[in-house]
Amino acid sequence: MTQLRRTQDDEPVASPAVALPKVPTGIDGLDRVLKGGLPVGRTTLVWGGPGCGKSILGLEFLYHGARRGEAGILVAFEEPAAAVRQNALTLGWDLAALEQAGKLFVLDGTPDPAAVLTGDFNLKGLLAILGGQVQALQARRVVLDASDMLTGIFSDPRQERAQFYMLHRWLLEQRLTTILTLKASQAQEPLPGYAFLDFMADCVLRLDQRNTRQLSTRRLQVIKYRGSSFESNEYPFIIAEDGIHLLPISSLALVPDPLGEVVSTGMPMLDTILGGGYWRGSCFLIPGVSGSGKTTLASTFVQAACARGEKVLFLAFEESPQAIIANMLSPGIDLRPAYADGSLRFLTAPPEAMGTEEHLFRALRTIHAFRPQMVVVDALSASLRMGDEQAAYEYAVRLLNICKAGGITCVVTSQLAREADEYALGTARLSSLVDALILLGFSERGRTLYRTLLVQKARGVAHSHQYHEFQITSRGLSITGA
Amino acid sequence: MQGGNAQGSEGGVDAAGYETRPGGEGPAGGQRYVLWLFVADEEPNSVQAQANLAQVCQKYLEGRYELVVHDVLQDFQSALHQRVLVTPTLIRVAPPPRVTILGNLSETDRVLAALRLTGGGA
Repeated sequence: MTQLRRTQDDEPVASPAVALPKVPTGIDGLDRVLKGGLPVGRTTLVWGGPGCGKSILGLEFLYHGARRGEAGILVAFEEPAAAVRQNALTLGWDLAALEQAGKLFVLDGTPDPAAVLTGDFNLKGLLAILGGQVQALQARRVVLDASDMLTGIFSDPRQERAQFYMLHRWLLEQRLTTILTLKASQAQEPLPGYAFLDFMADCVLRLDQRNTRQLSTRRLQVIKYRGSSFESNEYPFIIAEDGIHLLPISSLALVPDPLGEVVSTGMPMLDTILGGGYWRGSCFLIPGVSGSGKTTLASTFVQAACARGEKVLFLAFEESPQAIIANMLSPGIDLRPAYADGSLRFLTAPPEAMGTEEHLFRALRTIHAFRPQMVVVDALSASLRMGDEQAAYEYAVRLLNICKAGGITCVVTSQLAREADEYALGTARLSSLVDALILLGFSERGRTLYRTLLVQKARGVAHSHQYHEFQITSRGLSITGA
Repeated sequence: MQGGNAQGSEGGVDAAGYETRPGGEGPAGGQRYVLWLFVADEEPNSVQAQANLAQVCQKYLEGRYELVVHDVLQDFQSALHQRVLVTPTLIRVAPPPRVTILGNLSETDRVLAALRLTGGGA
């Protein structure tokens, strides 16, 4: 399934004289990065530290193949077969069923720790078993997981190397599409003595997992792909409840509309305060205490955007789409048509439901697929419940950066406990990313409570530093005066 | 190590159809050994292993051992059942405990120690 891609300048991608046949892995996002898949009949190396997901990658490759009728064999050097099957079940993969159907075979290759070594030996036993099983199943795919465990029994590095070459030659002769997974060191480098494998393999993938304070990010990178071009960036990925999902970050940079267009907030008075409107792709932060009208203001932006024919993605952390739409009816904001025709899409999940990384991933994946012109987050403060303030802050920063890179307007609300808490949730730290802050609150005059709006900061447009009173009427928000 | 009436870990018939007997009193008063050697046809290490093992058996286990040689290239199923990935591999099936020895058995001392044939036998 090789895809021909043309660049913006319409230059064809340079291709070798004979196209390299590839087999799709079926892993979400990976085949695009590999420009079709893994090289057929050849060996791919997957390096990674502990917990990086290399075993899952190999297994998923076999799983998708097996489901499509292409039989495969897993040789597990680190985990007993029963553990492999058990772990697969947590991803929703029923390996036993595939084994019974003759589409998968799991060979337990865990070395016997009590085995005594006396003199030279070789891996012909493994080859014999593999050969027999390949024939029995007509298998086309093989995964050798944690191969470093196997070769660890060879005390002589030359022996070890010779055995790897023998294995590699045999796999080539059998024309098996193979994945060999190997441990990387802490520094995410191949362990010393294994660098020769990079020369041996036709394709090399490296997985790593980096922990930046509270957020742990998994990344995949294609280090080498002999005979093929490939996407060479590092791609963040997650291991979701059903397997691995990559996010092809480069495609997010595609901006369909030119930046620099000034558009309306939906409130003419607010447009005036902002100096005529806002630049498309701006980022708004709307902090305010409970009841100050944040969601109503955000929905005003949404309605104006949808009226312009734009697509809006609404990330709701606290209420369901139905509740939000219903609540907005009384201030005269009718989101029903936009919701019905699909130009307004909601992504809802309670913050506690998953880790920050997965929340972010879901949001980014939806942005990538849906390509909205505007993203609303209501309320960012809820992201605190994902973990801690640091995690929430990093979620916000990553999301805002990606939206900015994609020219997507961001409207982010943030709940304050008290009006004076405008610096809660690191609003101060976020303010450098944000183009305009619209602080909503209340003020007393005599015995009347008034709603107030203050535009605190704006880049690129003239703005007013005064508190403005506003009302929430049945026809929307209306700024009544200074 | 007591033999006597102890059951071997693999009594009965193995997957390849060879009869295995639990370890017990053998004719010479020592224990009866059941050994499986996995080889890869005539490749050098396998040939050496067979030769070395023959010597050990002659010298230490005369009359009280049973040796089965599996050629993995002819019969991968046995290798599969015993999880033999490496050749040559020697498995002492009886008496228990099961012992696995990898390699061409050139280091006699290690082989004897592993098979518990030193110090007057097990």
